[in-house]
Amino acid sequence: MKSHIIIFLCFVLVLPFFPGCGREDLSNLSDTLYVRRNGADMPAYIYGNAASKVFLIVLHGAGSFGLAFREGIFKYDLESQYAVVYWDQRSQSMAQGKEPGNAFDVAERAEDVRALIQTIRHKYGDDISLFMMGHSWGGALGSQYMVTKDYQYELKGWIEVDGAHDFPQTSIARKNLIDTVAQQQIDQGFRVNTWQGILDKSALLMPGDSGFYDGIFDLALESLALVKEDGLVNSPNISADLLYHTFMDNNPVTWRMQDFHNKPAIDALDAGFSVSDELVKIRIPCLFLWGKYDFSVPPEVGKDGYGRVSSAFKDLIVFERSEHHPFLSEPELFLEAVEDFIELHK
Amino acid sequence: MKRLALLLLVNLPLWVFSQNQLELPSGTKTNLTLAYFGNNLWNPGLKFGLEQCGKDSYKSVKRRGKDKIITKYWFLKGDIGGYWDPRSHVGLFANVGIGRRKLRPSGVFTHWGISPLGLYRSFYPETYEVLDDGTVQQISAAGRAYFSPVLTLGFGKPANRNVNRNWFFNFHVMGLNSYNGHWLPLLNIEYGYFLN
Repeated sequence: MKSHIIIFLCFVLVLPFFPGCGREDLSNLSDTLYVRRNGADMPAYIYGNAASKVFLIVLHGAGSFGLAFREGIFKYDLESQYAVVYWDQRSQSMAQGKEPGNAFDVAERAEDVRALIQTIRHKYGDDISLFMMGHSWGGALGSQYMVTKDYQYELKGWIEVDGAHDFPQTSIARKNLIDTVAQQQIDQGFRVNTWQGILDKSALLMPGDSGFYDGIFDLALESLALVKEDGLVNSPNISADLLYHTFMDNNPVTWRMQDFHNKPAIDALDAGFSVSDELVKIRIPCLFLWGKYDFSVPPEVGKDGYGRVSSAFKDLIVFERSEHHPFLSEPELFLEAVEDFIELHK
Repeated sequence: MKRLALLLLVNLPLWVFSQNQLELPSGTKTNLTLAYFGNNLWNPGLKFGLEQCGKDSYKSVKRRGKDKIITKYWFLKGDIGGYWDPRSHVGLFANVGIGRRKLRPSGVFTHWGISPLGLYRSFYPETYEVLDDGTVQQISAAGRAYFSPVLTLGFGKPANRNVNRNWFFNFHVMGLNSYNGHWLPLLNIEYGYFLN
């Protein structure tokens, strides 16, 4: 019996060394590759229909990881039509390296995105169509990529989802959204005292004050909880796929420890990161997708970005019942917007 | 520095064991262990271990009116193993250290170990390096090496070192340094047998 166990364990351990264990069926791809650049080794997980020759690269947000997006419409709809690239950024989740993440600024991280794109082209051919979607912090990173040199022309289109391409503006936009929603709810007679309290606290916080960022951040959290309780946004459930990717595909300890030690979004915040003035350089098709009640990166930031890019085709869609994750709270509408955009420009 | 660490890692177990074999009393013995190694609980792996046990110390205790003997001994240990994280990498490791085992009258033993000297190497699947000039080249056996001390805490049964098929279960914490500029703990479990 013991020998059987030993043989079994040997088989299990040796299995990964056999070539061909990964699926290379291009219409139903399941591939992992690493991109090594400037001291970082960053995994990219590529799933879906690569035979379509359309690839959608997803840039995750702060504290997240690539495969966190592989659920719902990404897994069951977008992957059936396109190849979707879920990527762990430098010093995030399963990415390995020797240097701390805060040794690299956003511009340097944009070069990582460029390296990822070059690698995908190297492996899957120059005839593929590439689209990129950045969520939250990923929106900041993607925007930086878009305004760097002529990198944008590697892509057929750019989709910014609740992206923080302007950190200083984001805090002010939070205050504006809090004030607007509070007044709206007061006017409609919902929790008047509570919303009035928030409005009063907000009135005491002015941009430039030392406690402005933290004070507005706390009020944003409070406001988000209230709009959820008031039924203004759809509350997505935590899916089994998300749990699986968090605990099985990912190493949750590695992910959390990396996030604890390396916070590129906080570094960008401290540096006052903004590419607003450079967005005019963007000429490829752009799609801005925002949640109406996103107290993290309010739609005002999206509207600003939409107004600044020079693209001949650009569109802004605000999801009426969403906060920071419209792909979870209004997945059907989100999918429709993304599909239409890709089909039009692929 | 790296070469020195590697030299120490490879030679220290031999040096330690050879020194101790001369000094240890005749009652000591060598144990071989084989264990399932579960990184993050479910990433499968294997671990082989070698233990050189030191001299037993005995303590008599009263249990339900009867005299019972608790046996304790130190052991030197060297481990080598690896695991497979199916989505992202394979990890191989080797480490050396010491441990202390306590054999209880009930037949259960408990033990702890510390391996201050360890080396870990990750191996990625298909990897491409992108150079500053934009050249993309595939690299083989890509991965990273880390300094990886280990702490273990476990129990097993039976406690008699002369009986085959003693099993053990360990909680195993391996620290990787420098992992993106910090320490990264890997939480693992081991379930295995003494082979001798």
